[in-house]
Amino acid sequence: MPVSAVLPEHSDRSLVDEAIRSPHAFKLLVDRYWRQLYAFLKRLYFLEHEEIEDILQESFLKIYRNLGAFDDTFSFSTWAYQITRNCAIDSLRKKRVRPQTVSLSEEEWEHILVATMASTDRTFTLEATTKAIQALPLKYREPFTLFYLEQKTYEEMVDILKKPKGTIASLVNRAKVLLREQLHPSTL
Amino acid sequence: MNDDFSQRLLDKIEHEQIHPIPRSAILFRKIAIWVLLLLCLGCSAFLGVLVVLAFFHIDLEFLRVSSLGPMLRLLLAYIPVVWLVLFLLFFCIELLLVRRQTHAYRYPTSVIIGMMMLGALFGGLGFYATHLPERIESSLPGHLPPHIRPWFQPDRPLPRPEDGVLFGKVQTVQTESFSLRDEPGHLWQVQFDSKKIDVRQLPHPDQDVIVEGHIEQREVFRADAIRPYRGQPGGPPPPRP
Repeated sequence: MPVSAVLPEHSDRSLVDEAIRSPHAFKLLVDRYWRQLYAFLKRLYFLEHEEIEDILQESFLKIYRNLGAFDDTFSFSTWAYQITRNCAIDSLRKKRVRPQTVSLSEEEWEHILVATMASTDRTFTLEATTKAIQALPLKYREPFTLFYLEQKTYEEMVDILKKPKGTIASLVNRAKVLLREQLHPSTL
Repeated sequence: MNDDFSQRLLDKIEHEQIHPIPRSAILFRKIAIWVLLLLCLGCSAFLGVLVVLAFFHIDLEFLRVSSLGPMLRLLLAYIPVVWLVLFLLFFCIELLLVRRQTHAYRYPTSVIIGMMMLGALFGGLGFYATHLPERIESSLPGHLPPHIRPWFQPDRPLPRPEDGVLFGKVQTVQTESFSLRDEPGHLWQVQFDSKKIDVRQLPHPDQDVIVEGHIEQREVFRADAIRPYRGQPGGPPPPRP
């Protein structure tokens, strides 16, 4: 299929096949997913803009180099999340970067607040919620963010986090328990 | 973040001449990993069944260890923990490869380990039941170039009682001796010290055994070790190195 015939509404699978021949088709895939992955990195790892951009660039380059290895038993989105998460973890390990405090916009924190209240069946202040979320250990924050903020299903989370479904369910529940413990009634 | 992120990425790809890895290379990598996985499975199956056989003192001749070099034979015969360590090593490599190459991460680790153990056990029992190692050992020299065949000792003389090895079929068993008819048909009286020989090693009538020791007098052999012999039907045991 010539590059000019590749249209934005084409499926991910056809774009992947075309991107192996032409990087311009890959650009369409990047346009489709980079904002979603940017928000994911920001919400989960609380990184600054430059670090997120570096990680995203590295992730997409890795995706581009390994387009031939794309396993279509799961979606391109899941695969992109998988690779991006791995790149973020590698970057955090190499640079020993600690999450920064509050680099999200108010709108994003409102979103997190709503998700936290929905998960814990309680009402909290924005400030208390931000502290509680940041205090969550990464192994609980990841599944919590993917489930409540990224709206991923358990099946998608299994492939992104490479953990069995039962383990992920336990981690999400544990995250909710920890959030409830952090968020005292006095913050209402 | 600027909306030109994708354009900058595209510029980088074109400027640095970055290309996707060819599908053939990816396929080759996958095949190599699968071959390694199957080899590890075979090795862990083989070693696993050895550990089981050694634990239950069943037929250690399965490996035909006496046909291997003296050092290796010493290791395998007297240091069984080596088998266990090698088995665990191959098992761990197999576990890593299974998690990497397949979607096994979707299942609990205990389930994956259980399935792999079962696979190794059945594979190993299959090797044992089909006499696969012996078949390979007997057919291999025939496929080798002539200058390599002597390394596999096909023309070495068979062990003789004078060399300290006696093998044959047990006829009768007494308290500290038994009678044995060897391959040429001679009847030997094999004597042993019941304090030194493990009671589990004692043969029973009609069993093929291999005895290590020395000749005390004519047709009397003093045994230091007795092992079941499970060679090819009608065939001699492998020669000593």
